[in-house]
Parts: sequence; structure tokens; C-alpha cells
Amino acid sequence: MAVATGATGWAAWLDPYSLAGRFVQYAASPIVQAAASLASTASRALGHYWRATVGAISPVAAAAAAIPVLLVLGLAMLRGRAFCGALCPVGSILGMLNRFAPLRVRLDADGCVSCGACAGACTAHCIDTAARKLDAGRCVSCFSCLSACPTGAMRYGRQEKPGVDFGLGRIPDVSRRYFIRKAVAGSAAVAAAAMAVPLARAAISAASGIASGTVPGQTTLPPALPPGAISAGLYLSRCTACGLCVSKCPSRVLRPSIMRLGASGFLSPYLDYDASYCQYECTACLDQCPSGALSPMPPADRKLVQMGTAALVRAKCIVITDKTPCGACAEHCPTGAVRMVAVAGGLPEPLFDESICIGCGACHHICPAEPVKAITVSGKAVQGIAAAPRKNLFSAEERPASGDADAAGMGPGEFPF
Amino acid sequence: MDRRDFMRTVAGYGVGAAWLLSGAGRVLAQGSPAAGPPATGKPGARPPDLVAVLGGEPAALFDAGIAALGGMKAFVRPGQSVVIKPNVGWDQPPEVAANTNPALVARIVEHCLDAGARKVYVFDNSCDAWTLCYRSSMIERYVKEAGGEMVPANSSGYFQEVVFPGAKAVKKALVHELVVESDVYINVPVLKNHSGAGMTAAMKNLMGTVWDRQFFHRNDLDQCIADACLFRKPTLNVIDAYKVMKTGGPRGYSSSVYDVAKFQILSTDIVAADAAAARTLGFDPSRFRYIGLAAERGSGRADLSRCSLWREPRSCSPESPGSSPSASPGRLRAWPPSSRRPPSSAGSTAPRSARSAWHRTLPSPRASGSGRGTADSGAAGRRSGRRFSPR
Repeated sequence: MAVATGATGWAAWLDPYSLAGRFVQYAASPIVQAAASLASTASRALGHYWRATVGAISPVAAAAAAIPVLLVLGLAMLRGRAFCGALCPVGSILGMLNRFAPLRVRLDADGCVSCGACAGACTAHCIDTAARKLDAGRCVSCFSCLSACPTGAMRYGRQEKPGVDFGLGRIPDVSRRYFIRKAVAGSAAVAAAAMAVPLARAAISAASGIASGTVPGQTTLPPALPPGAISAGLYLSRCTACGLCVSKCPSRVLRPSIMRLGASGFLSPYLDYDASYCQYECTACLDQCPSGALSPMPPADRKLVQMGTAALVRAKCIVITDKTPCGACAEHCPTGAVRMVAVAGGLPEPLFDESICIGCGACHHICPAEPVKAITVSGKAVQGIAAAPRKNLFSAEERPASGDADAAGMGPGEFPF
Repeated sequence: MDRRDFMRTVAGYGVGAAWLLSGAGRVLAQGSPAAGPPATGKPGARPPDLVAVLGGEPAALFDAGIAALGGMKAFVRPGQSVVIKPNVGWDQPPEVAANTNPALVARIVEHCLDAGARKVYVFDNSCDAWTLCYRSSMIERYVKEAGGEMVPANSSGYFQEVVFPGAKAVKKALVHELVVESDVYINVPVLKNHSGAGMTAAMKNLMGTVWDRQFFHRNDLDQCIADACLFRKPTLNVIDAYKVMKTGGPRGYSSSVYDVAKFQILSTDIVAADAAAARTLGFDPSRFRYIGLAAERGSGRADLSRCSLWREPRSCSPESPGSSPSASPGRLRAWPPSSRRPPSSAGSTAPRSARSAWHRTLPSPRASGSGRGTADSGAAGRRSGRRFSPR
């Protein structure tokens, strides 16, 4: 919805689909998961392993997702459908259309005795009994008033009021006031639409500045965005932070941003490589994204999208500092961008090739160096395309760490020992 | 008492005293988790230390191998619980051979149930996202169909802190509760090249029973791998060397070189199993430091000449440990005749039954996998170092 109206950021906070998605993912789901976890523990006592996947819980995200929903519900209890009629973009548009609906609830002022029975029953608080008027823009067609009205002044149907028909359809009013009112409203709408575009552009450029790590005082690595985000600006202009991709991410590397993507990217997902890493064969987030923030693409293309770039700091690598064999980075790298190369008279050391690195974060996540990892992945503000993985893992001058291919192995039909 | 203990107790009372009695009896009976040497089908006959089986599909190789060790009944007594630890580390389909062959794991589950196991559990603390690994490897599906239970290992809540007696690096670690509690512990690694450890087979596979794998990397990987079996040695090790990844391990790349060896190693001695695995890769066991460290510590024998070997088929076998009992009927399907064929047909010409594609008995989880090279090309692919076309 927010995307359809060309406004994300603030609008994502009113869009009911995103609100609902966030509420389920960040506020309701942790409670369900906790219950499932308890049930799973109980099942183990019976010798069964009932699966309960528990994701990371972010209190900030949970609160941020729950508060708007609680506000909506609270408003509904106190003031009827105030959110739906006045704030919700979906409700507002439906309400606007409802004013021109041929079939709708109508109040016949002549038959009304201002008894207030309809207003008492109205769930949308849209009937002014003193003035004997019904605000069709807020009416949700619940029909509670129809049965409540003792005089039959409330009815559902077509308009029967006298108007002027010029042969092209009935015009309700031909007064000068009616004409001026409509003209002013129309001009205002055009002016607002014209202003919205530059405002949105300004917001996007501010957001991309934050995403590319140009905010002063920010010391953490620029966050990587999911594959298909294309650029931070495009991504943040389209993401409504609905949380669908977060809920479907099998490795749970996608996390809602609290601060990492700036104010306009609040709760938009980024890849948290300290928590996990992006799975090479997986396209779950791309397949899920309902807003187009992640461009869908075939799995083969997704495997070449550079979400970030690794940086190897040899001075922090435990092979060099502690003289201990490792190779965790190379072992996890899906493209062979990090590989262990034999070093004369020493332990095999990692070697990094940026051209085939896709920034999936596997090496970053698994690197055992403490307190600072020797290999880290920073996100790219504009995603690139990596070269295809090599046909031969090692170039002519490199020697593989474990001397792999130099052994003969088994002969056909022979026992090796 | 922590929350889990509390929940267990509550749930335990819930199913009644009968269960409680049998459950309590089981817990008391397993004071020492390590099982003794297995008995053969024939009383008085000593089982071989190591069985090597050549030429057949993974499940058939196991049928022949376990028979040479006296059948699964020598390891699993009726009513016992079994935990099987395959390698399910990577989100890769079976034909990449980064994970243990699913048909082999399923066959072991069937043998255990046939021997009267109460429950057969299978788990691994995967490297890639566990749900993807369980699915892509097809082990989850095969195990379920065979009647076993696939168990998660994705939360530290499934792990218990235990002491590794006599360890030099891993003195204490969180180990999966099934390794702590199950009566029988079967280790089923796949043999592969490994960028960090050089080779991954039986001992390296135990890293997936531990919660914090980064600890291993941080604290002398070889010593940690050698220490990993000190908490509890597997009752039986079965090394899947059907299709051996010779380069680009452990994950496997499109450029990886393979040896379709159609081979399997079974041993109760985890060090001997790894020494045999090293030979299968074409290396002397001394090449891999952790094998020497484990032998030094007394975890097993790295010198294969000090082990009694049984080779199946018997073409090259120097001694006979008595007649191999045939697999019992019941849940098990009939043996493929290939495992019993005369020595003359061994190896070079795989029989028709062996050529049936084990990984096509169930549809591949990924439609895109159909274009790839497969492991079932028979003898033609054996020496050529088959390469897969990139996906």
C-alpha cells in the first residue's frame, strides 16, 4: 500500500499490512516461540524431539511493532474506528471511495428524530445525531445502525435525494459553494502530490547517506543488505519493514535494524554477520518480499550478487598470531574467495580474492579470532556482480593447503590398505 | 534444578509411573556410556578390528560390513536407544558428497531397529543453516522413512556440559545430550578433503557433537580433534567413502575432484578408522597430525598392521574371522546380491543393481540439481576425477 502510494518511511508506519507483519514477527512470534520451546522441552522427556526454532528477540523491535497496534486497538475501544477512517492509508482510500458509493448506509434527515440510538450502536462513530448527518467517509458498513433505528430513518441503498440530472448522471448539488469547495480540494490534492516527490527524494538521499556509513561517529561496519536490494537508496525507498523476509530467513541472519540503517530504515532488515551468515543456495527473502524492495532473480544470478566485501587482516589471523592451524573461513566460503594456501615452512594461510567474493558473511561469522575478527565483511551501498567462481580453486603458482590432488588414491577395485 | 529439569520431571510424571520406572532404569543402567567390544555371531570368535568393504552401493556395503562384525545385534540390544551422528554440515545435495550418503544413514537406522532398538536418533550441529542442510542432504527424509527420528542441534539448550577426561585442549565442552544419554553411539562420517584439518573422517566428524566449534579452531585444531573422542568413543564408526571429495573440501565446489571409490570402512577403533581413511585418500596417516595425537593419547591404533583387518569381498582377505552371519529378515530388505558376488566380478564391473541411482530413489529437493554430474556412473568415472558442471 505504502509502495503503491509512493511513500515509504513514515507511511510504512500507517500501512496496516506492514503493521500486522511487524506485529506478528517481532511481538507475537517470540511469545509463540517461547511457548513452543517449553513444549519442545517437555516433549524431550518423552523421548521425542519436537522442533521449536527460536529466533533472536529484539525488545526494541518488539516494542516498536507492538505500540502502533496497541494504539490502533486502544483508539478503536475509545473512539471507534478512528485509525481506520483517519490514519490508515487503506481505510482512508476506501472511505474516500465510500463517499461516492452508489450503495451505502444513508440517514434520511426527514425521518430522523435525533434519538441517538444509531450513534450508540455505530462502531465507527460516524453519525452526528444532533445534526442528523452520517459521515460516509468513516462508515464501515457494519449495519448496526439499521436495526437500532426505531423510525426507519437509517437505510441502506441508493441515493434518493433530489439533485439535478443534466442527462449525463445526477449531480447532487449545483450551488456555487459546492463548486468552489470541490475546486479547492482538487487543487490542494494536485499541489500535495507535486510536493511529495521532492520530499521523498530528499528523504531517500538522507537515508542512503546513513546506509553507506557516512554518518559521523558511526564506527561499526556498514551493514550488508539482502540480495536484490540493488542499492541502499532503492531498498529503503521500497522496504516497508513488514518483516516477512526476517520470518522466512533460514539462517536468521536477517535482523530488523534499530540504528544500523538510520531513522528511515528503522526495522528494515539488514544482514547481521555477527549473528549468522547468508546461505548461498537460499532465495527465501527474494521470494517473500511483497513490496519489491528485493528484486526477484533466479538462484544462479543471486549467487553472484555482491552484498558486501570481505577484508582480511593477516595481523589478526590466529594462524599467524597463535601459530595454530585453522581455515574456518576457507571451509565456510561458498565461492572459494577465501582459500588456504600452503606456505613454505609454515602453516597454511588464508588467501582472499575480492573478485569472486559475494559478501555472504560466512567467513566473518565463523572467524574464531578474538576480540576482533581477522576477516570481516562490510556491506556495499550499491550491490555489485561478482565474477563466476574459478574453474580451478588454486592458481598455477599457489599450492593447496592440504596438498589435495597430489595423492593417487584408490585404484579400480583395489583395497587401499 | 533448572527449567529443563523441571519440565522433564513434570512431563515425566504426566506419562505415568510405568514409563518412569523403565526410564529411570535406563538412566541407571548406563553409568558407563562406552560400550565394550562387540561379540560376533559365533561365540568365541574375535571380531575384526576393522572391516573394509569395496564395490557396491552404500547401503549394500554396510550390509556386508556389519555382517562381518557380527551383525548389528552385536552392538544394539533390544530396548536400547541409539544415536547416529552423520555429517550433515552443508546445504549441499547428496551428489556433491559433502554430507554422508542418505541411503547409508537410513540403512543403519533400519539395522538398529531390526536389532530391537527402542529409538534411533540422528542429528548434526550443521555449519550452514540446519534446516537447509537436513533437507538438501536428504538425510532427514531417508531417516524418517527408515523409522528414525531427526533431531535438531541448533540451540545450546540441547547440549550438556561434560568433562573430557585426559584431554589437552578440550577439557570441558557442551556436547549434545543424545551423545551423553543414548545407549549406543554410531559415528557415520563422509570421507572428504578438508581445507583446515587436511582430511575429515571419523574423529573430525565428532566436532558436530559439540556446540562451540569455534573453540576448536581457536585452540589448536588438531589437538581438539584428537581430544573430541575422549568424552565418549563411538560404539561403531562407519566411514562413507562411496564418493570421495579429493579437493575443495569440506564444502565442495563446482571444481572439486572426486574419486568414486564405492568403499566403506567400519571399525570400533576410531583412530584405526581414520588411519584407514587416510590411506583411502592416498596419504600416510602420519600426514594428519590429529591421528598421531589421538594414538599417542591411547584412543586407538594408528598402525593398521597392528589391527586385524577384514576385507569384503574376500578376494584379498588374509584371514577369516568365522562365517559372516547373514542379515536377519524382518524390517530389512533382501541383500543386493552384489555384496555377495564372487571376487572375479569385484570392482571393475559394477553389477546392474549397483548402478541403480541411490539418490534418485527419491526426487531431488532442488529441481536445478538434475543437470549435474552424478555419482552412479559406475567404473567409468572412477579414475577420471569426475568434475561436476557448475550449477
